[in-house]
Amino acid sequence: MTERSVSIHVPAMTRVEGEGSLRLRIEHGEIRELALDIFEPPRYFEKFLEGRRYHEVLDTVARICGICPVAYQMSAAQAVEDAFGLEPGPWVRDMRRVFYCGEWLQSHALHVHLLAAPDFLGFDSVVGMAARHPEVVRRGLRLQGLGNALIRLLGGRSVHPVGASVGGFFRAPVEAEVGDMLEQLHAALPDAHDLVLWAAALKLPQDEQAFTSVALRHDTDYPFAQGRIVSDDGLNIAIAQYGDHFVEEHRPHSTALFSLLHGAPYLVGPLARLNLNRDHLPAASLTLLLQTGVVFPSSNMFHSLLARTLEIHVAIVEAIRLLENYRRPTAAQVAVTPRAGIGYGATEAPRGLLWHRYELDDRGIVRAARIVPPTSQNQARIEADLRRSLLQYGLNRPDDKLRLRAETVIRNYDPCISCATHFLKIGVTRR
Amino acid sequence: MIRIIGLGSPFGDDQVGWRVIELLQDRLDPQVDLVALDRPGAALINWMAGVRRLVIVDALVSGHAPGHTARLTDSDLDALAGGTSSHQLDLAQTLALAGALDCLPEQVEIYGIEIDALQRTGLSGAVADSAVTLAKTLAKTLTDLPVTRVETPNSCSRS
Repeated sequence: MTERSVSIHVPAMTRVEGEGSLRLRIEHGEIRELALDIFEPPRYFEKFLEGRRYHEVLDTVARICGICPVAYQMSAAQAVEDAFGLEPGPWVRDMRRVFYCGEWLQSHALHVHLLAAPDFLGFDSVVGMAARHPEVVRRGLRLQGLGNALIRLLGGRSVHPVGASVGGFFRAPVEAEVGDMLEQLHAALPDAHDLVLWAAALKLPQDEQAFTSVALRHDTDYPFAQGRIVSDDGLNIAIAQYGDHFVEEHRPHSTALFSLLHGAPYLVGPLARLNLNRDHLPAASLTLLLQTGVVFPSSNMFHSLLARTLEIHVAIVEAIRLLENYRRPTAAQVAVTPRAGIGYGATEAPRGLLWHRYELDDRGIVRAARIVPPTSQNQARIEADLRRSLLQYGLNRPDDKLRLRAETVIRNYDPCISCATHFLKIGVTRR
Repeated sequence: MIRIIGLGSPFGDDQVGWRVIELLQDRLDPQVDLVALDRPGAALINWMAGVRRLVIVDALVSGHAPGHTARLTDSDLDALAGGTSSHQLDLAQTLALAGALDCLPEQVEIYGIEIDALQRTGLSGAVADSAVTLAKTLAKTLTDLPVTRVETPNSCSRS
């Protein structure tokens, strides 16, 4: 019996967002081992937060991710306010939603154009793709830039923004800034519209599979920062009950925890959100979705890309709606009075549900923190998807083809490890 | 148009690109556009529209002593690629992307100042000194030149 052991090593680009590798062992045409290893930094942040005062939490958690700091800040603000029994009021709620729209825009535009699209158009990287599809890439860069501008409007800067606080924001934008932003948002609507139709026309792999979608669901709105946690299996719980249904477990090959819902993998992120909230899309976005002819809920994992582009449209439409009648308030935040308690926060990060829990004492000092990021929630689902996708694709294909298909499957979840175009170290062992 | 962009972040020596921009304020013809950007990734391309000559100043970690200043060539950039960025494109990839999109200004000059990656707050002494030196050099180079605003229309949008 011959054993061929091939290890393809791609220098990983590491900062804090994470590093991934895949170990794949194939014996007699069957997958004997398949493990996605992830290093996820948020675990350490929970310890860093202990002993910190409540007003340090937002700046700290923003550092967990350079791409979705707003999500971390919004889940944390909600959790601390929940513990303090604080209601920040409608202006703050609306502006947080606008802030979040900025993050969805920039994060989704980055992923769709720079990371995912080359997979579906047959290029190694966005650079190669840009030579053949320059208008697509330029459109993506414009939308990403708009998202950054929207984050700056409320956050002061687009990377690790500093504008948000427990109780609201440190500063309310003046009307002229909002007016300028509105002009840019209106001007971007045709780009978002065309992007959705472009995504719907892409030849995506047909890959129907069974999975459970989990997302927030609000009474009336497409979910960003409010709602109950629901699934298409009938789960419908308050965010404080998360721990009764979801369990995180260690597995030897990963420093990230695997999250399971009632013992099974599940999906969070744009496809899960759209599958569960199609009826809460803004009217213009729903009309656009109908125009594509693609039916949601969808069980094709690769429709995540289309869902992501539709959420870019949602983010622009929502930001316009919320900013259109903007009046600068006299105060951008409500007064905060610490009290001892436990608080929960759950919002929809670009990559999916981001759940926080804090215990604070009567001086507002964090005694315990727990953060469940979307990437670790998707980890078990990604492994399950990889296993069946590779089997369906054919294990007898050459290593480089297997690797590309594995990368495409993983990238489709937009995990933080898809940071670089070639992020994956893959070791294939064959017998 | 001539534009000088300082790239950086608010952390320690990584601010050096911004410091150079700060030092150049009011020292150049007002038609030279000065911009400080916080880790823009590929969004840097949005700042290339209408620019004829682009000067980029960035922090560098290449094994030299802190403060060492170098004008980087394409091969320097390729050698540095991939080490410092994860979810974003790095500078070499971003310039390659700009080239593929036909967005690159006629002239691009990139200066790197070696930093002490462990410096936590503010700029370390040698790096601060190098910022002053580079700002002086750039001011001299750019004030000696006749500055004319040439709006080269290209399709790279600035947002």
